Amino acid sequence: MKRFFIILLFSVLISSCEDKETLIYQIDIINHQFTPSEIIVKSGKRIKLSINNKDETIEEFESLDLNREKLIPGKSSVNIYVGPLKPGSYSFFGEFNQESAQGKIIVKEK
Amino acid sequence: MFSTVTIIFREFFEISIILSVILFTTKNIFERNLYVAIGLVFGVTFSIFLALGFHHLTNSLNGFGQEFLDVFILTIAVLMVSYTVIFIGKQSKDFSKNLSTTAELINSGKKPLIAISIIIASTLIREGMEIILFLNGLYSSGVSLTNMINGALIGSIFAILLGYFVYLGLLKFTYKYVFFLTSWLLIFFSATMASKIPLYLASADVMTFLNDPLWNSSWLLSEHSIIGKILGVLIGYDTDPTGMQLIFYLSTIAFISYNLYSVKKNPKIA
Repeated sequence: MKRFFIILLFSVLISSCEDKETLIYQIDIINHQFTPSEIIVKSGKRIKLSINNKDETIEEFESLDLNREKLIPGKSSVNIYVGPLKPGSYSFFGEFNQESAQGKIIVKEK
Repeated sequence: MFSTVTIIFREFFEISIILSVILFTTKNIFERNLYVAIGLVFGVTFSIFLALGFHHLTNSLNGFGQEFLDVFILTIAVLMVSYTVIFIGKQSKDFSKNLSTTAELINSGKKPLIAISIIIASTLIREGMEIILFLNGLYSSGVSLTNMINGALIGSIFAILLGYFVYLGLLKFTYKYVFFLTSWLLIFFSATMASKIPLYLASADVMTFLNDPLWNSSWLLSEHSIIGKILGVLIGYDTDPTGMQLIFYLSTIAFISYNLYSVKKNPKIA
């Protein structure tokens, strides 16, 4: 049991020291819509989504495909790390305005 | 108003099912209603505090305050559920092969019951904060208070009904299997919460080791379906779990079941 935790601790330390190349993508929320609503990224790269909520009201960025959810207060930005991702299409949505807040990340081969 | 109903229902849905499981698994415990009430009150109060300070929370810890709070709450809940299962399981075994009776649990003291309050409070905080922020957002965007309250009430009533049906369904299981069912419902609940911890850490770019999904079972059962969502809450069903999620999930099951089923070398004589 102790050994498991030591290994776990090492992996945390190692992975936080790693110098991974991270690609940054900005997505705005304007009038309960994601702009852009579709982004194309390369597979196999670490990705930082910078979500900028330009609306007054809070929104929740959620994606079942990416297994991420985060609340974004009005007039503020948050960062969400995803990836590296395999090629395909990963949809996300704004939980509080699902009719309009829909988007997807399309992952292409390098 | 309809969108309010659906959103509130979805948010409440998870709380409702979790509460049904907790209430079912603790139904024989003396005075548990008091501790459930304590958990509910603390949960709601803390949710409100966190909602008030939400901007600061979000910006804290390099902008990952939400993620670290979720990790913290999930860890506490995993520990409390594990403790509850193991403690109550041990009590049952120390005395006899039968279920713990009311008298036996009174004798063993009330210390473990606060764990129930903590489990309930932690569930409410995680989900409740979202609901409060959503309703606050609606209100400040000009939605009428009556529409909002009506929508919220209808949505939460449906969610509570669903939870109630889950509870009734669990009650149908015969007496013989209740201990087994109780322990394993809680074990899976604990493992489910544990398996979410690596997701929040990965979102915050911490511990990204073994972060790739191992498989994709959406062809078998989609996470978007109702059954998929219910299984998601009950056993942590995920169409594309990562290696680290699997480690957390299986370790939790292994840890609790080892402690629950291991036989003491010198059993206490009642």
